Amino acid sequence: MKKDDFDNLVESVRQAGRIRRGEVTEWDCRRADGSNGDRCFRMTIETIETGDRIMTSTDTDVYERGERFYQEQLRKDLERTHLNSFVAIEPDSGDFFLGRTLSEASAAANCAHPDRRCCVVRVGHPVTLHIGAGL
Amino acid sequence: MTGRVDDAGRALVRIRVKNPAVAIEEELDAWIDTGFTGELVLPRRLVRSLCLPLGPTIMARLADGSDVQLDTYTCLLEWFGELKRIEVVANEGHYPYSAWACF
Repeated sequence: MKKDDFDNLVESVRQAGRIRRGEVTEWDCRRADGSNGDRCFRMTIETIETGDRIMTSTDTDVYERGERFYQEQLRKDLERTHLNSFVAIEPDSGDFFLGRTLSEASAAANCAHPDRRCCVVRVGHPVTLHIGAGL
Repeated sequence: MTGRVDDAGRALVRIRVKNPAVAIEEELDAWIDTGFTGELVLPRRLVRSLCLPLGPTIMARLADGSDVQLDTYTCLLEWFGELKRIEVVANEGHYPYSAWACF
């Protein structure tokens, strides 16, 4: 998404009255490999009308911190007991939630930490998902 | 559930996707991607029009072998008469696609 598109989206959400708190204070964009991209944004919008958080200011490094926690604290045990399961990790607390699918693990994490973002890794796999058709 | 095969040989199935909290929904044809190990990929424009809330971040390996960090979004999928909460991956393409066996 381009910055103009994103700003338009935020404005439309704001006009629809869905933002309860939080403001867009800065905009940033980068990919996991550090190259310029359009997948990650930095902002401080925290809730929309539904109560669902759409992004927080610390989101950009959630995957890196969660994956590091997994490698250092969880991988050895989980590969023995829960191979092929999905594990959602909330990196601030270190809480983790297992599921048979990405969605199961994510739902469990969301119940425990509705205001925090998590990352999901798959036990015994180098990546969470494979996408055959490409993006 | 009955799917169809289009002129390009793609297996398609009609699905209904909803925002988990507000009354916004879309009915669409999803392409069954047997190489996909997630549940559903939606074009970003659909994620936007459905106002889907942000979900976890993940790492995905694409068909060319490259790895990319992606955001997921939470939605409800109508599946055999039940609403299932799933995480969808947003892409920049035009076609939704789905892994058949994962629901």
